[in-house]
Amino acid sequence: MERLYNYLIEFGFSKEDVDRVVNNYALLRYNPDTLLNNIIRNNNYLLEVGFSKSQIRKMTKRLPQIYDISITNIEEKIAYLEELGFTKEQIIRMGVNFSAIFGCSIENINQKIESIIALGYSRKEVLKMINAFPALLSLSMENIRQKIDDIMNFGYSKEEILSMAKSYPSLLGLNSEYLKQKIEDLISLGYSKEEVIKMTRLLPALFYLSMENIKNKINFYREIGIEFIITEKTKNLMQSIDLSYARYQYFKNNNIEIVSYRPIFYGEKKFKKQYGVSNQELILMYPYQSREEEIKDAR
Amino acid sequence: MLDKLIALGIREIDINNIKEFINEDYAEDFVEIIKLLTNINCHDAMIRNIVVGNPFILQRDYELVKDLIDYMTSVGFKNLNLLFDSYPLFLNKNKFEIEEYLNKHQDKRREDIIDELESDPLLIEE
Repeated sequence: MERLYNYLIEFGFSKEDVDRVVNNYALLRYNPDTLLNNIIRNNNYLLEVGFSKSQIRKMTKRLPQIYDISITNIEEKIAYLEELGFTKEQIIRMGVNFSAIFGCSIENINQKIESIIALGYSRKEVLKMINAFPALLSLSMENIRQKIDDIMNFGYSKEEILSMAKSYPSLLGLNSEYLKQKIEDLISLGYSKEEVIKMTRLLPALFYLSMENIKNKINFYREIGIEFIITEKTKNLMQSIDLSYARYQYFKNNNIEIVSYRPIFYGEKKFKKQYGVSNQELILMYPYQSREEEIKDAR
Repeated sequence: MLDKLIALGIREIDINNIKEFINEDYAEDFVEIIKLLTNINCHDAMIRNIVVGNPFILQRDYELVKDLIDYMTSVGFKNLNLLFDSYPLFLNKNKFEIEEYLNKHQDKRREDIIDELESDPLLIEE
């Protein structure tokens, strides 16, 4: 047992983590020497594949059962994922982000892929979704279908949801209540349900901004008279408020007439060419945070 | 981990919405990721937006995020704070995906590809 402890400590595990590994239910049936051999064998193999020591520690901390899986089994899984079209780097990333993939059987992975295809995707699309969001494999089909039903209840069609999830598969990993809250928050800012659905359908990435952030943007664009961009040019809502604010202040302080909202959203190269100042210089000159503090003080 | 979210000033309602992503196994990674974000000049409001907008960051491997930021800096991205604030989900990408994107658009000048991506980070999803 001492050799086992020493090896794991030397590999970088904390005492707590060592206990977690050696006391894992799946590993209790091994005597310490056999377990040590398994651990050394699997660690060496994973290092060879390209995982770093720290990544192996994290993976095995979350899934100590990895030491109960034979090299042949892991090899087969990696070969299977490569056959599906994933690169070594993608597989390593998947393993780090979703260690349970090594615990899933090939049949299970295959079945999940087929079930997601049956929702209305092509195989290529499903593989792209898994690559972007490996934890998709951990969601049960019941959970995925329920999420689709829940989102449909907000007012989206099934096709719209499948299309949003194609580009943003992690939407399926978010709690329905979380999404509902976002929609309700947007409605509370003065938009109709239809407008909110239109905005998020065109720009599902809106779900990935905090309400604090969206509110600040909406308030600022209302204040400077370009509120229309929120529903008509929704993509502009993605730009950092720090940059929009700084550019607007720059125009104001340099008496540059604002005839169009467009320069506020120019790419940096175009903006710098026209006005001679970079994004980072601007946000240092006119920090949005100072406006926030002024607003707080005024209250 | 909860104390760190509170220290960042994340509202209770937001914490409730993202609590299912809180996993103590990633507490050290999260602390290191916050340091990385601070080093690229993300201020607290930006970090709040990143965490609340992309709760998956609470279960993200620090090394992968470091590789991503180091790589993007090395190839010439200059506005990572603005980019991650614009599209928090970008932090779930990996170094090799950026490499692939740059290679795919080799017909353009590197600085133009970066300029496009910085002003429209959603292009990475295409």
